[in-house]
Amino acid sequence: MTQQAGANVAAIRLEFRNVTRRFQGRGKAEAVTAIESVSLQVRDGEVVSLIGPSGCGKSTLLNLTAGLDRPSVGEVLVDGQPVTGPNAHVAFMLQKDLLLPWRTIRENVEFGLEIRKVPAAERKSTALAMLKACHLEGFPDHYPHQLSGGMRQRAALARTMATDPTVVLMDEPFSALDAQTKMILQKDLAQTLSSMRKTCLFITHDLAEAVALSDRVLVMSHRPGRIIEEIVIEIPGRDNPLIRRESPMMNGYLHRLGELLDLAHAKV
Amino acid sequence: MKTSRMISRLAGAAALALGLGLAAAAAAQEKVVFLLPAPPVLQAFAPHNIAMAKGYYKAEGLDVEFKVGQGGADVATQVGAGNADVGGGIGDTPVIVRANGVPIKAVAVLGGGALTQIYIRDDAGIPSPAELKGKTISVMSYQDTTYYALLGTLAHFGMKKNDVNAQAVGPGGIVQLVVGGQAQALAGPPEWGQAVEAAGVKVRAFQTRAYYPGMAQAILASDETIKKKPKVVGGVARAVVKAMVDIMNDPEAAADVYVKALPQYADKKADVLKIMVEYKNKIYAGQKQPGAMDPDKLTQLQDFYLKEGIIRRATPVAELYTNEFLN
Amino acid sequence: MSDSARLAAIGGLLLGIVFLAVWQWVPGLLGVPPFIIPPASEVWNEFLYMIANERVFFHVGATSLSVIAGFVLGALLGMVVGYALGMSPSAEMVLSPYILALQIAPKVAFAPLFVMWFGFTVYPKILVAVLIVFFPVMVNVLGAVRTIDRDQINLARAFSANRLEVFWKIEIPASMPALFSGLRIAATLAVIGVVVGELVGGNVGLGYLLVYGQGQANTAMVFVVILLLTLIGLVAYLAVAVTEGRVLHYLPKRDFGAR
Repeated sequence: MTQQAGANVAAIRLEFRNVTRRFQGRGKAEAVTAIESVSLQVRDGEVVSLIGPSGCGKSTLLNLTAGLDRPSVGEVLVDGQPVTGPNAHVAFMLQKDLLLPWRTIRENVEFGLEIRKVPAAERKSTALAMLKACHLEGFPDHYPHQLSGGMRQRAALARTMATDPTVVLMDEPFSALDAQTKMILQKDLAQTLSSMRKTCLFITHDLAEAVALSDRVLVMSHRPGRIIEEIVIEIPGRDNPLIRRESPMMNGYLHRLGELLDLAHAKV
Repeated sequence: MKTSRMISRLAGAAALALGLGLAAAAAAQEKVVFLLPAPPVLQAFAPHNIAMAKGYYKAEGLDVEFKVGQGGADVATQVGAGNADVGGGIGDTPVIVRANGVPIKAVAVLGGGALTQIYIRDDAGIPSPAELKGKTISVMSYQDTTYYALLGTLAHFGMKKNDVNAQAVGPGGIVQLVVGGQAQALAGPPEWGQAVEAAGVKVRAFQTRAYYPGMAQAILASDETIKKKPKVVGGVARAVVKAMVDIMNDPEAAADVYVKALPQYADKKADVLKIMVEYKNKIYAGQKQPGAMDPDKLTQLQDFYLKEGIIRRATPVAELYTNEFLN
Repeated sequence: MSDSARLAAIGGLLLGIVFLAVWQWVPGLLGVPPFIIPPASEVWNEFLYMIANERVFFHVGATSLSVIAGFVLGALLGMVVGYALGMSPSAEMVLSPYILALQIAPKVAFAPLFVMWFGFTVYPKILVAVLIVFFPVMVNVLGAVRTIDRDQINLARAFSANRLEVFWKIEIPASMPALFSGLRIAATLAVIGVVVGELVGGNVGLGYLLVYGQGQANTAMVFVVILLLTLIGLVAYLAVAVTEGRVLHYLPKRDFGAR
């Protein structure tokens, strides 16, 4: 019934094998271990959320996956290939929309394609299709400052999806939005991920968001970040978080996660 | 202008109110600001400095302080605006600035010659200024009376300014260009001719007064100051002229006083004397009464400036000078 | 909106008329002689005289061309150095004390030296302008490059952009607003640089006319020259502001000259 049920046959898209990342301290400060011995797997089409206290190394995990950073120990693999640098298989989306103010919305969506030397006509048709999918078909020639926060995040999502990445990384993409916009965008994201069958690693502080959107939730400890628990979300209908939120099972998951995070805060 | 006077008056009143002994001492000697067009250490200002060294200002009851302006016209404007009691310039200055409404007069002229001389390189094969056509001549700037004197000289020989290649190169370049041979001649006061000779290049000197009614240095005062402080204006004029006469009578003794008063010339007495003799013979000489303006010459000069378009309107000559302070 | 604009225009015009009237008559009533503050009409007559007799437009043209040359060269140099140092923090560390010293040194004081070295040509005045224009442009570009959002650069890198692409597609456009505020300052400074060069010597340009007018105690001519120089500075500023408006059209509209 759940995605997890088919996980045995689905390929592993993203894998961390015993990854540790240490940062050299500045001056006499001690070296900081951001994450320690992290192992995880995300299978094709799966949405996995990471939650944990702030400073648990979630962003380090994301940078390692995007190839912007290298592990001190261990290996990060995308589609079975070690990640040695930025690559076409991974795209990310942050809390900041990072839309370039000097580009129109369509040009922003084309940004990744442009760097990958996709011909202009193809770029344009892909961008327009993505904008349509993200409910922004009326705004290709607007500039970012003319759009609301929610619309800007939709544009950022369109840009992320435009390069057709294998793995999508999301770092609290909706945390700056008001509650209502957030719910709508969560629903849209869930449908987009589901219809495009994207694999997604989703970082969030919002427990309800994590449960509503994911197949699995990984809980991380305080620094040095380790994965202390994996919870499989058994609520059906991953493509509609609004319905999932109404599920009687919801509260049980939230309660369990709350307990785990208290423990995490206690530096277990 | 009025404010600055008011401030100085207020300051004086404040000093008196404090009852300081110093204030009483200063009251005996009237403070005078004497604005010079260039640094006072230049030898053109030898009479001004010797008058100081010999106490001539003090004898007139004046406590003179030299300040430096930006050339003759600036000095004239400042004097006209009341920012200085008396100023230094040349006899031409009132002709030029009075045409633009600055109410100043020459109250003494330091000699009957023109300050500007023309120095021609001996090896240039130019026997006289009449042969300057097509030659390169360095001048201070195109707005300077030395340049006008060159124009006057050229006009005397039927040449226009474009018949020669006059290069305005500032105080540094004017001597260098002649020494280096890029220019065959320069127009300027005796110091510069001497500087060329000191660099080992022989030059021949020609006095512009032979060709054109240019003036020597002058002491300038505003109409208002002349009316309100005749003692100050007259005192300065008499003191400086007296020192000029000293130089003319005994250059050797004057040079001694001068090098003692200005330590930077301590080991250069020979050069100082040479320039002093140059001033004596070519510039200070030629006045019936030392310091007095010659109105006929001044009329000729104004006519020349008018004809050349250097000034736009003539001023009645009687407004340009006064000889009343000399006796 | 158009009503308030019309009102502002009328207000501005009235203020101008009041200013001219005050200038024309008040100094005379207070007993200030015309050689200290010439009345407006005398300045206007002087301007007409200068058109007829002093080749005033030739001098305006000469000064303007030097301003343009000094501005363009100084701005280009400032951009090149600004971007180069912005992308190379180690070079910036080594050079910054020298750059700071040169920035603090009063540039206009170099003018007499430049004239001595290069003679009474156009080069000294262009050089002073270049030197004076260079710093605001370089400092603004350097500051902008250093404060670019790292995440924007990471975004480009995550899309596999190389160094050059990051430069052209992120760093250059992201630094444009700062570059233009530098250019605005530079446009007016360029006029100062050129005039200082002309003041030192030569016989071309408005700086020369300024010295010439001063050399004859012709205050009206000095006023004319100052007004013309202000006009050149204003045109230079507006040219930059208009270009900025075109280039930065994607930014929300803000009040003119507000930044």
